[in-house]
Amino acid sequence: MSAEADAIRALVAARLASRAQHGEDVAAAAEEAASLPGQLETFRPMLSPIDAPDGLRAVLGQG
Amino acid sequence: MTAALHRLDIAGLGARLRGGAVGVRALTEAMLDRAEALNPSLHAFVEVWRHPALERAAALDGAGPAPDQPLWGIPLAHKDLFARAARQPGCGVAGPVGGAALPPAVALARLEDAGSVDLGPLVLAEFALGITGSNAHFGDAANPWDLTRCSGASSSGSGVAVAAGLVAGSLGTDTGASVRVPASFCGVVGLKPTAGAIDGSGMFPSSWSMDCAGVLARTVADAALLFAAASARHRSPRGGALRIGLPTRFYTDHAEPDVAAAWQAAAAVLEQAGHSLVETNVVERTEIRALARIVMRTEAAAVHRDLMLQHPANYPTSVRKFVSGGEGVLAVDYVDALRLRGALLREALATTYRHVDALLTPTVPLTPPRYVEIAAATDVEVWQRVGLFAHYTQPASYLGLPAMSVPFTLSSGGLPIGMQLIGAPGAEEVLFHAAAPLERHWRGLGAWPGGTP
Repeated sequence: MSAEADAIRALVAARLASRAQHGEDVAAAAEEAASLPGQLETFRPMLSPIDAPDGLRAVLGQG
Repeated sequence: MTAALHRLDIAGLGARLRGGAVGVRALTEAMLDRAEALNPSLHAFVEVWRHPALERAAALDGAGPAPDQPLWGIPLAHKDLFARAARQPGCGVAGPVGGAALPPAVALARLEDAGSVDLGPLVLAEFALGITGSNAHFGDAANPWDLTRCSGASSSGSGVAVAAGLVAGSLGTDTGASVRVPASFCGVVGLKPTAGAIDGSGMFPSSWSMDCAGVLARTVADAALLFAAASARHRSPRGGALRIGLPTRFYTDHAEPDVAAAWQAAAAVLEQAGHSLVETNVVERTEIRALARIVMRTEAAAVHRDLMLQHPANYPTSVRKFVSGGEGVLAVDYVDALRLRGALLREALATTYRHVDALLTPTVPLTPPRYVEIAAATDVEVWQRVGLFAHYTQPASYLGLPAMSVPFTLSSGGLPIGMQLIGAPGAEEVLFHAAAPLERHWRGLGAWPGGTP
């Protein structure tokens, strides 16, 4: 996971390089991006392979 | 007679207008005078539209009240995130926003068709990407209860204008907190309806998947009326005893003592009103906020990455921080965060909402801090504290559930504390019914913001 986080930090730094002169806080953005995937793992076991990205609308429509 | 018009709710104003006690133009002029007098200290309006509002008022006076216009002559103003036929939204920034033109917002058109008078666009956090009420372009929106304190955001101008009696109601938007947090901090009612209940066309996007138009007003009845008009729905008011869920986890994490005590007091008030209290498990846990952030950050990055290069002055550091984390989200994680919305909602409906009609939670763990405290804190302190503002509100946005903040009591420091009611999809009327005892408690305090008598 650490290697993945390091890769995400590097990716964010590279993508934000063109905005650096406008006061972009590259380190903060990279840290935020690196922290998110790990928390996703808490819920990922709930997913079925066939769950679709627009599943919320389908459930709301049944309400 | 007009001295106290600004304190009346929509029903009270409507009765005076239709009974001829006051004309639409006279009411509009009084409200415009108040808005122009107080806006320099409140920073609620981007601009006050005196002449267009008076022309509209005169036309309404000339035509007379119509039965199908429940908001006939009612002064409103709306978050500057909605497109009008002759004006694109300013999005809370001073310079050109850029990007393609949006179509006129359907929700605004419905409120106008219902007879309301629009007093002008309201301030918001830049691009609706902020939560304190600060704005680098128009000044920090001042909380009417203490002008030095945060109003909450991103519908900051809406919360301030309604609380201060500059308008009777407002259309706002809520992607994770943006109607409910300013409503709680400013002591007004704020409804984020079920996802998609109010047509969001013509609304500048923050996060397409989670953006939700909502309403702010001074009473629950007014919020219900505005919601019905904006969503073009007929009301079917709910009655009877409800099962009120008290979550056993998550929704009191980080609560200040005054907030936790208010939540317990609110539960007691609901029980005394005849509703039953049910301790209930919930699907929400801290990590659900990361799911919401994955969706919001990724979509905000997609909206703004080119605009930030074209118009860098529009983007203060706080907004850049919000957007830029999305540059590093992997596509498969973004898709899974979207897929989990349906899975978690199914779970919530099969568990929590099988046993309760509505959840009762505080709206915000904290009472509004002073802007100077935010400005003086270190980055880490700020983000830890400000991040908590949306702790209780973000899950309902992620799950697409209707949620409403209703003012309940004052803190020991005299600041409003709102309670949040969350319902199953389409259960807005349940929320209005459940909120009634909490609102009675609030009105019994006879409180009005000291910063704007």
